[in-house]
Amino acid sequence: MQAEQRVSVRQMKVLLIFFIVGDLMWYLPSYTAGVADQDAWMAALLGVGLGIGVSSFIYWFGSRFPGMTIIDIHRHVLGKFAGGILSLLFLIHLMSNGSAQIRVIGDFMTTQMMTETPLRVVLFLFAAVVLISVRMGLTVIARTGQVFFMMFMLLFTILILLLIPESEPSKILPIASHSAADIIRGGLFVVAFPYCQMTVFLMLFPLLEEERLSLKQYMIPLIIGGAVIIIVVTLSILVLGAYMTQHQLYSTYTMAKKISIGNFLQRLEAILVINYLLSTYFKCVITLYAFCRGLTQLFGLRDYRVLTLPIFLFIFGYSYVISTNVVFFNSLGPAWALWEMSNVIFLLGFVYVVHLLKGLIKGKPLHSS
Amino acid sequence: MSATLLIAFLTVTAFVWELMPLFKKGFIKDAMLYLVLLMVGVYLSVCTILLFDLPSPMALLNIIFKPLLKGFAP
Repeated sequence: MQAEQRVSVRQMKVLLIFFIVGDLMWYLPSYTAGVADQDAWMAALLGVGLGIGVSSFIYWFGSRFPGMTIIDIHRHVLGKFAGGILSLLFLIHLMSNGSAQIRVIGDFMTTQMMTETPLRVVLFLFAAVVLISVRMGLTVIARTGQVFFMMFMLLFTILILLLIPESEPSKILPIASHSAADIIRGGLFVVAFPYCQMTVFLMLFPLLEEERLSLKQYMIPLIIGGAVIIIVVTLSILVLGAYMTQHQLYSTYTMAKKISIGNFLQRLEAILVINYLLSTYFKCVITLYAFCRGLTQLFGLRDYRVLTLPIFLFIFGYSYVISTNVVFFNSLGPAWALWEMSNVIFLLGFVYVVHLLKGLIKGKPLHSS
Repeated sequence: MSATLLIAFLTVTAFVWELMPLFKKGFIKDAMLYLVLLMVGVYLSVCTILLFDLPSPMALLNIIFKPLLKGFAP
């Protein structure tokens, strides 16, 4: 039943771009500017470079085990028990990420746009939409992504063009006033937040229609997503300045509110909200789809679709419980970034080292198939 | 109250339309996992709707990564 859910390379590229852009527009400028102030753009540049390296490692790791998801890889390398435990940790990570993205939407809507609406209502509705999409399957998700992609890019371009007149180059000065350590620390947030999270795609790569996604095809969305990160962080600094970017919870939203062309073209933050909802929706759907498939594979079930209703109730409750309030949620950022990075190190790096050692001990060639 | 009824309706629907057929078809493993997820899901949903304070599991992250956080956090 699940074998029919295939996506083309083009659709996978669209999903990769949506995933990288995801929910970064709201949190990433604050985190990077929190460490590197007006040098946040340098941190973003460095982070994108390092992040592309990390994502290439994830791609390379996946290509060592063709046709296998990360759950299969863990089982293949570490056996049923130890592999199962690592897979369970991976699934907890996916579940928490999916719930966090729903919570991010809920917090934003109830603090900025619909302040009278209870958080639970937004969480319930968004979780329902996401889980309905998950139940429809990856092919439907990918086609929906293709439909919305052009609109997403167009709105993003309009937003950037309209923000350019609001930017003040003096806000970026003095350049490189922070130590290299601060800039690297800022860059690590960029590495962690979209790029380390891309381990999710190890559940999706085996579902490609074509034999495999080439490294060149994989790099294009990484570079486009990286460009979006650098543009958003740099514009936040140029338009709002380092202090406002650090202290505003949704700095890009505040930035978009500043657009005013001749006191006529105003309140264009809605464009940003549409884009934000779209990209976060896709990121959340991809994450929870991977979670459902992973759960099904780990426990050897027949079809993941059956589980979507209980998972909906679970994710709805968990996205509320995950944080007591928006301030606590925002404070989780650094620890969450470390969690993302440790996942790449342990769930991928450690597993590959064990695989290499097993190959050396058995005297076999160092590839799996 | 209506929200609790909605959760109750969803639970009954899940039980009758999905869980029972799984048991009838003999998919015991699927049914057991379904039941566990449903029970935890209903518990969390009801706590959310009735505004019961549950501790955030994410607080564990701050405890686990505390030694590293000193050098990393802004």
